[in-house]
Amino acid sequence: MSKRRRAQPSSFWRGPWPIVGTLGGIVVVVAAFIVISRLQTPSPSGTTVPTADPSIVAELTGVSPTVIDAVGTGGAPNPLTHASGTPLTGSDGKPEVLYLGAEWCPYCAAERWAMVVALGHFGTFTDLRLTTSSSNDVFPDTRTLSFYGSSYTSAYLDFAPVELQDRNRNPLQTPTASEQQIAQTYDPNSSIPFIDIGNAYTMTGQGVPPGPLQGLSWQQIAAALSNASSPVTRAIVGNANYLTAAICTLPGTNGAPICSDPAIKQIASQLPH
Amino acid sequence: MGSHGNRGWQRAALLVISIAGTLIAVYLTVTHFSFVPLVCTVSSVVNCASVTHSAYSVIPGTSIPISVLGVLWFVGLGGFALTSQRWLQLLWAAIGLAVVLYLVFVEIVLLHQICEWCTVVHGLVVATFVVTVRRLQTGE
Repeated sequence: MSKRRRAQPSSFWRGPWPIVGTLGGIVVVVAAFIVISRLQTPSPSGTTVPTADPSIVAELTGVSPTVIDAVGTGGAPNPLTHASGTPLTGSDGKPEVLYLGAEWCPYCAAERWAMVVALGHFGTFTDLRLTTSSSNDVFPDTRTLSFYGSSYTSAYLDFAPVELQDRNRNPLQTPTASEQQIAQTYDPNSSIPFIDIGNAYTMTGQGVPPGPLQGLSWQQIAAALSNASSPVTRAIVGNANYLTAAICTLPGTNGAPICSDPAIKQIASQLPH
Repeated sequence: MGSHGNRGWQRAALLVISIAGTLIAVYLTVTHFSFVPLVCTVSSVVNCASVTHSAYSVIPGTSIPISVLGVLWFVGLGGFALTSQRWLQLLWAAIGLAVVLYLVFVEIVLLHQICEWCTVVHGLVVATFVVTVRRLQTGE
């Protein structure tokens, strides 16, 4: 009897059950993950979305000079192309930054973070709203801020954002004839996002890679910008520094304190002329 | 004789897993640091880039990609395959399995995206665990 009891653990160990049990356990755990994933609250849809928490905007527009200098280009290649058109100006004669994008577009979603950081050095945003990119595209549900319905005031430049479609690809805003003309000239393939910095530099397609933002909330992305070694910060601030440097080359903008930053001056000196 | 043949096959399987896993983990590491896109299907569920460039793709608090740990783990596995340290190998495989379950949690629950290359690596780790248990069973 006692011999039989001692033999039982051995036969169990030598049989298929340790392996079958482990594989079964893995299947159960993965199935539980899938159930948890499906029970999570779906992402917001449409454009009826909340205004961004002021603390998020404050973190974006208040990235410290230490972080800006530590990140530099973030190791990313120059996303800007030199343009030599007639200087683009707003209605009051200040240099203008034109943006064409769409709320569903994941690359626009990622790029807007850098744009708010860069433009925040020169002025103030109000009524930025929280939204996400499309759920049915690459990098789905990338958290972002929409320029639709927002306003921007600056002593140095004008900002003209155009969100062509909402996150469900419904029409949202239509560019003016002159904005369409600019897009046809510098962005013949109609890639978005398209950014025209005073007709001096343009950027089309991907700037900030959406990958580092995947799975992060708006608060997490904004909070990450205080850590220079974060992949999120390197992606966003690295691209923002390129945009900032390009803006600093526009007439009348170099009075902004950010244009005296060593890292920005360094990047500006390396931009094609 | 048959038992020795099984053990030889198990050792060979572990070496093959070690080499394949190391190559894939190196590939994932290189693409993490470069701007070269991964060869991968893109759909609403499968997207390697969104996983391997996500905030969870690095060792917490660092900018070191987790795939570097994968390289070290698979190289270590190759070392265990050449020795008779079967219980240490089981511990190594269990650690690998625990990390894989965490990464699958990140993919499914947090990112809602699956990376094909990562799934292959996860499969190799599970296979390692199975072969390791089998090696312990036949090694008695």
